[in-house]
Amino acid sequence: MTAPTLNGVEREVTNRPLVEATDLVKHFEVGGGFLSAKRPPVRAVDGVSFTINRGETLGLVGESGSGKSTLGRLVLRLIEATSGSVTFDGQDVLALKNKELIALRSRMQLIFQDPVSSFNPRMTIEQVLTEPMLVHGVGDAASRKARCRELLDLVSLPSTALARYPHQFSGGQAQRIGIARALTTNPDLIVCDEAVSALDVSVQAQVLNLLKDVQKELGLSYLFIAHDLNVVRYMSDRICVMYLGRLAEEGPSDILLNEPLHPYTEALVDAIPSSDTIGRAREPLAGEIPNPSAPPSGCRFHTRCPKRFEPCDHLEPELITVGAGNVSCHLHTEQAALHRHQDPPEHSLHGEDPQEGATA
Amino acid sequence: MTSRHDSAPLLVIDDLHVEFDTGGSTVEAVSGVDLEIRAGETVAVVGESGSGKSVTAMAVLQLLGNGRISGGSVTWDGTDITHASNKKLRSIRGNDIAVVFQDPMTSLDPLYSIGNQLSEALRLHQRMSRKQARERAIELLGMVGIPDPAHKVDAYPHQLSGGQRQRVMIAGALACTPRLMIADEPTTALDVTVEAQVLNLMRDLQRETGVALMLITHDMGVVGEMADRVVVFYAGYVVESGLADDVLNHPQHPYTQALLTAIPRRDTPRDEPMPAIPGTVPGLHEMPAGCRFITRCPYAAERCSEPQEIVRLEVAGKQRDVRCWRADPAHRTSATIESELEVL
Repeated sequence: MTAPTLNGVEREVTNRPLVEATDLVKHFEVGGGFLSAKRPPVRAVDGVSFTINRGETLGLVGESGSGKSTLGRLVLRLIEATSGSVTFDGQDVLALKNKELIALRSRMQLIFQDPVSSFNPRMTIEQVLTEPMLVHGVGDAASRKARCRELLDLVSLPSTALARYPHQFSGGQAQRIGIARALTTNPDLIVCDEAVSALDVSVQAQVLNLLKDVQKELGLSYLFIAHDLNVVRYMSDRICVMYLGRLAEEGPSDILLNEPLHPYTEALVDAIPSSDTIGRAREPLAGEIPNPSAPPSGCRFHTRCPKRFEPCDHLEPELITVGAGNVSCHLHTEQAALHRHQDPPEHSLHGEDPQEGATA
Repeated sequence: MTSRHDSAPLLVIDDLHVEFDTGGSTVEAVSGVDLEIRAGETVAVVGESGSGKSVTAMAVLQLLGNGRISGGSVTWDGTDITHASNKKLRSIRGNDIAVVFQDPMTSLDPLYSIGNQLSEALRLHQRMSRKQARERAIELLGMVGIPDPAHKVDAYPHQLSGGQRQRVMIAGALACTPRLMIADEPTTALDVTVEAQVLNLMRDLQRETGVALMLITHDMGVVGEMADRVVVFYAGYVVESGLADDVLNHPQHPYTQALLTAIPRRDTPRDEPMPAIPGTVPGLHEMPAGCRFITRCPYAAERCSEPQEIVRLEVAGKQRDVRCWRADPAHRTSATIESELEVL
C-alpha cells in the first residue's frame, strides 16, 4: 500500500507506529553558574511513553508547566532528551548524527502558536516557503516556485501572497502560511503546538478544518498540543493528559472526555466554562500546579486531588490499562487488584500489575 | 445587598464613537455603541479582537491613549462624564469604577511589594494612614483567597503564580469598594482550572459586595457561566444584546448564530468539518457602509448594504436588540428568517 503525497513521491505504509516514544525524560538544569548554587533540575518530562500511528492525531493536554511543549520538542529532537528513546518510522531519532537528523527533519515539522513571530519579518512569503526546500535540497528554482503556488493553493491563499511580507497578513492567514511552510518538505508528522490558541473563534474553525483537510489529503500524523480540551477532542483520535511531566491518562478522545478515569482529567473536563450550563456553581480544583523541580511524592497530583486516599502521598501509581485507555491512579490499581482477588480468570489481563504487592 | 439606584442604571453609554489617530489618518474603532449596566449586575461584552469591546470599556474612564471620544456620551450615576476633567475622572477611577486587566504581570509594578501597591491606592483614594492601609491590604488579600496574607503582603509580583497575581489585581480593584468593576479578559491568560477558581472568586465577591461587573471576554463559555446580560460586538458596534441565557440559546443575529456554532463543543461530531465563518473581519479602513457582517453573512441581501438600525424585539417575553433588518417582525411573517434559522 502507498500513501498519497503532495509531490507524487510515494511511501511505503506499514503497520508499525510512525512515532514511538519510550520513557522520555527531560530534566532542565537550573543555576550552577559562577555565583549561583546548583539547584535541583526542573523535571519537565519525567518518564513518558506514547505512540502515534500513521494518519492519526494524538492530542496532548495539561496545564502550563505540565511539560506538553517540551514533549513535542523532544519528539522532534529540537532539545536533547536526558534519557529514553524516540523512534520515527523505525529510526532511532536520538542516536542520529547531525546530517542524518537534518534529513529526517524534512519528515517532521512544527507549527507554532504565534505564526507572525515565527517568520523572519524581512522575508517575503515566497522566501519563507522556499527556505525549507533549499535546506533539504528539493527541486530547482522553477519547481520550487511551482511548489510554493501549489502550497498556497492548498491552504486557500492567492498566489499574489508570494510577494508580500508576514506583517501584511491577519492572524488566520499567517497561520495558513505557517501550515504551508510545514508542508513544504512533505512531512509525515506535524507537531501543532497551540496552533490555533491565538486565533479568534471564527478564524479558529477555518484553521481546524484546513488542518483536517490536509491531513486527509496527505495522510499526515499530528501531535496536537493545546490547552482547550474541546478543540483537542475535535482534532484528536486519542488524547494524552499530562500532569507535572507524567502521563496521568491516555485514551480515545470521546471516552476520555465522557468517562474520565483520572481525577485530574475529570477536573480538567469540569473546569471548561460552558455556555450550556448557566451559572453552574462547580467546585473548581484547588491550588495550582506545583513546582516541577520539587514534584510531590507519591502520585504527583495528590496535593490537589479530591479523591486521594492512603497510598497516594507515598506511592507513585504505575500506568495501567483500563478499558480502551491507560491511567496512572491508585483508584484504578486498587480496583484492578480487587477484581483479581475476586475473579481471577476473567481479569487475568490485569495480572501483570506491578503495584499488586504494594496496594493489596 | 444595597438596593441603591435599582431603577436608574449605574452606567449609560449612549451612541458612543471613538476615533484613533494612526499616522496621518483617523480610524473609528467604535461606531455608535449603546450599553447600560445596573447596580449589581454582570454584563458580558463579547467579540473578537478588534471588535471595539475593550476600547468601549476604556472610553468610560477615558483611558484611550491617542484616541478620543468623537461622539455620543457616557453617563455615570446620572452625571455626564463624557468630557469630565482629569480631576473628576481621578475621583471616579478606583473609587467608583475599578479595572482588572488581562495580564496581571504587566499591570503590577515589579519593583514594589504587592502590599505596597495595594496600600498606594488606599492611601491615595481613601486617605488612609500607612498602618491602616497595610491592615486593609492584608484583609483584601485574605478576601481574594491568597493563603497566609500577613506574609504574602510583602511578596513581590514575580514571587506569585499567574493565578495569584490575578487575585491580587482583583484585590486592588476592590480596595476602594467600587460600584463597578471592569474586567478585561481577566482569565484569558490563566489555565482552565485556575480560570474556574478566579471566576468563582469574582462571583462570590460580587455576591458579598454588590459590585456590578462589566466582563469583557471572547469566550462564550465564560459568558454562560457569569453573565446576566450579554452584548455582542462585531467590527466596532453592537450587533445583538439581551439576557445571556436567551442570547446563547436563541441567537437572532446571523453573526451571533455563526459564532456560537463555530466553537467546538464536547459533542461536536469529529468526522464533520466545523461550521466556520468564511473570510475575516473587515479592517477599520474598509468598513462596509451598511451591515458590517455583510461580507461574511450567509443571508446577505441587497438591503444589507444600507446602514442597519437596532431592531428591538421581544424574544420569549424578554427584550432583545438585534442590528439586522431581517429580525424586524414586519419582515418575519413573509420573510423566511425562521426557516433559515432552522437550517443554520
